[in-house]
Amino acid sequence: MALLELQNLQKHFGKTQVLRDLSLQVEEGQFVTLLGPSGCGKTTTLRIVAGLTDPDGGDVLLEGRSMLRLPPEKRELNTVFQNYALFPHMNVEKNVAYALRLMGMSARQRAARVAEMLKLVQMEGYEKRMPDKLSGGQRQRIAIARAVAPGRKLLLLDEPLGALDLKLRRQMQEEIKGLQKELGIAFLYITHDQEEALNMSDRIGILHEGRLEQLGTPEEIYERPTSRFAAEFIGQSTLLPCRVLAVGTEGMTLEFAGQKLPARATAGFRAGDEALVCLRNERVACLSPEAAAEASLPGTLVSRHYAGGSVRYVIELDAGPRVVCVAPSAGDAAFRPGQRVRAGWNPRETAVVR
Amino acid sequence: MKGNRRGALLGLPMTLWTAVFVGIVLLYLLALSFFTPTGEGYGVQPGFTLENYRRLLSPAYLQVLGKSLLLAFYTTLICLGLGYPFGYCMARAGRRWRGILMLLVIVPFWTNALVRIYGWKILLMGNGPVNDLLMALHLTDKPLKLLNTYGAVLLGMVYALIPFMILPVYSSVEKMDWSLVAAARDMGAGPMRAFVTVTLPLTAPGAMAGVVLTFVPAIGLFFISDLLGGATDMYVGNLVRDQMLKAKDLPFAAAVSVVLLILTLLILRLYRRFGGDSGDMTLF
Amino acid sequence: MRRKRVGSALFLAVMLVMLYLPVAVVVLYSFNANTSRFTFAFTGFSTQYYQGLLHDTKGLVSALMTSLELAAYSCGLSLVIGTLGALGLAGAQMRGKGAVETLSLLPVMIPEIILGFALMAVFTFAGVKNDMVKLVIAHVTFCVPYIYLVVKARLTGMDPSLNEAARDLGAGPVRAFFSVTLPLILPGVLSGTLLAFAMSLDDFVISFFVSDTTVTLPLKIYSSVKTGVSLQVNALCSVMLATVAIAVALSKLLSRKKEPGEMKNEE
Repeated sequence: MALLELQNLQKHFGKTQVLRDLSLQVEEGQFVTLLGPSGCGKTTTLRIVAGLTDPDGGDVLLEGRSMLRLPPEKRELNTVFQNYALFPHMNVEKNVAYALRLMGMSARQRAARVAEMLKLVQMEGYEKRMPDKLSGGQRQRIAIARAVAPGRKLLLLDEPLGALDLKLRRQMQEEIKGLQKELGIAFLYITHDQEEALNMSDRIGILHEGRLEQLGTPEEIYERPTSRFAAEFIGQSTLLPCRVLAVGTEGMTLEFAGQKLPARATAGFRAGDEALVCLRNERVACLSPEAAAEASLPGTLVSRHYAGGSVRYVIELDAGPRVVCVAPSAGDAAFRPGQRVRAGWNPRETAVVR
Repeated sequence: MKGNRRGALLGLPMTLWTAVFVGIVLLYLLALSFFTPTGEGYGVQPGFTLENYRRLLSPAYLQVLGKSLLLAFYTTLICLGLGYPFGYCMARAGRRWRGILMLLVIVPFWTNALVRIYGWKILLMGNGPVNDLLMALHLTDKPLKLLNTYGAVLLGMVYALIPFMILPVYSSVEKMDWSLVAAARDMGAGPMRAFVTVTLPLTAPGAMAGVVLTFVPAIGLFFISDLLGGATDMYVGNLVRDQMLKAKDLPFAAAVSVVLLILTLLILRLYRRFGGDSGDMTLF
Repeated sequence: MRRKRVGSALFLAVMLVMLYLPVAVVVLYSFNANTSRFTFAFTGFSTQYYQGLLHDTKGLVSALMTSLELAAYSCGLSLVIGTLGALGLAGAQMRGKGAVETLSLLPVMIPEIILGFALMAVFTFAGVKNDMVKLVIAHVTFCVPYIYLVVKARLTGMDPSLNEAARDLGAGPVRAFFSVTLPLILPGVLSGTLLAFAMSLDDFVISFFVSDTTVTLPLKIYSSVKTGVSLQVNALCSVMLATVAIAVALSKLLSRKKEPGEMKNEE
């Protein structure tokens, strides 16, 4: 039995449908991320789980029991809010002990638990600080400490790193992931940042216009996107519109602008279907015109940008579309703009979506 | 939704209070303005007559109304002329000074309004300090008649209402983004031009709120002309009071009040129409 | 640049002198030894008016007491009505909310004389005779908007997720209100109430229309200023001014010592 199960959640705000039939499971100890652009319904989903918003339809089960009739305070989970929501009139200690006091813990137990939590987030010695005297990163840690203090099995995190700068964000990603491993509890994490999602999650659910587009491990999500949205939203890619010529057991044959291209076998395609080949920038190679590749298309180099560790080429295919290719700068052949080249890739590492 | 029902319940006392003591009271005022006085005490005869409004249209009363509006207009104009620069300079003062100046503006208003006007009465009297000073400086041989003049009334009105101009102007100048002025200067605008094209439009909402906050009360203040004008001139405020207390003609006083009310609502409507936010009107 | 600074400082100074002149005159004349009813010439220093005040020979102190009693009733009632109103209406999205808000703010937007007269007319019609009841109703009507506005501003400035965080951490709605919302809006509630208290204490126009025989301080001052002035009025006002000034100075001193955790909405 899953720790948390969302069943066919529906939600409207006025005339706009925010969630359509959203179903999702979170297992104990799992780090699950809901990833999507703003307005995709991810925060609404989190609020429904926390009990701060009522769904129009569907159910939320925690350890097999429906939580829909429970108010937020009766749900055995806690939330880290986007803007931290630290109580400004209470010091760090009182903030972290807020839930503990409500649970009826004695003063001594509370003090011990607060100390333990502050140690966990490396904020020992800050007990008497007021929240407005803390930096963004420190507030973030206190918000996490406060939410994990009650010791629930599930923690909800609503874009907790959104307000931090890039460097701090990277560091906090590691810390949050480490914290989750150490505590062994499940995290349901909300973000619009794909890098964050890919780095931290056990499983990622891509949310688009209130629908779950794809659910899978970071690897599955990146290597095998199942929809055009998932392919475009994650990573940097060029989508080439093709037609399916034949479907075999080993792979498929596609046609692009009169040329045949091999592609890996993908469920759901039949001869004659429209298809998009998802060329990840870093998986495309810029080759000399006579070089051999399993799959390649001729074109002209439009631009070359050196960016330290990598080189970025833009190739205009003879058929029209442009393909971007990012190659390691070490061993780069240094093609010049205007030169004839081929864009080549490995069809087994390249996804085909509708 | 749950939240809304609870909200309505919490708001119920205020909703009821407002409905009865503002809504019904003003509706009664409107109804009263169509009634006829019985002539016995405050007695009124319910009915529907436009007589009260017709009386109001007579030249004598129209003149009272006109004079009141003119006085309110002058008052507002002077308040704007003095209050805008005051609020502006105040907001441009150093951080510490701002707090002190704010306090200094508010402190005199902790004394009763009547007392402050009375202070002016003492100052302006024939043998008061102002005349003493003028004579000591040999600017005049005999005391000037300062009290019981139009100027004295105007002075009292401006004095009573100027904080309502200073405070909104101050807050709009204070929250202005000064890098915009720097940008205008950078693009070649002189200080005057930068002020007219950037500062003025950006602080206009504050000034507009100030205009409404001084003009509206100025229409109805009656005790200032009583105390400083010697009650020689009749203004709308005095008219309502006299019709009520002396003539005991409630329907006519109601008609005057209704006209004032409509005028006020028109001004507020106009203020909203021109982008005024009632948020700018909350000074405190 | 420098000349401009001096110019604006001079302007501010002149305006402030004008603002304080009448107040200074009131205070100064409270120490006047001259007892003539008709001339005010300052003839010497005396505390006779303060002594008169002690024995309340002109009924000023009892008028002040009436005003304080009235302000206490009105503020107590408006405090509850206005705060509940702000709590109820600020968050809710319901029909008629705009109308209730506009109507409830009307008493402070329209000339006072209209509300004063209209209330008087209604009380006459309804046969309400008790002066204190009439005055309290009138004062609550114009005090509620002040409290409502200040508390509402405080509430809208408050991050709604604070309350949600409290619920999430296990507090029921009532508990969340008392442990989070109330402490955070309290400064607003207090300053709104203080403002309403000052407005009630200072109100002349509305009380003038509504009251039959009860004499509040502003009514007393008005009648004594209109007829023969007793400089006891000056003495009383000086005492009140000094009291307020000391109270403000004290509160500034105390708040400087203990900086309260301010509400901020950063990021």
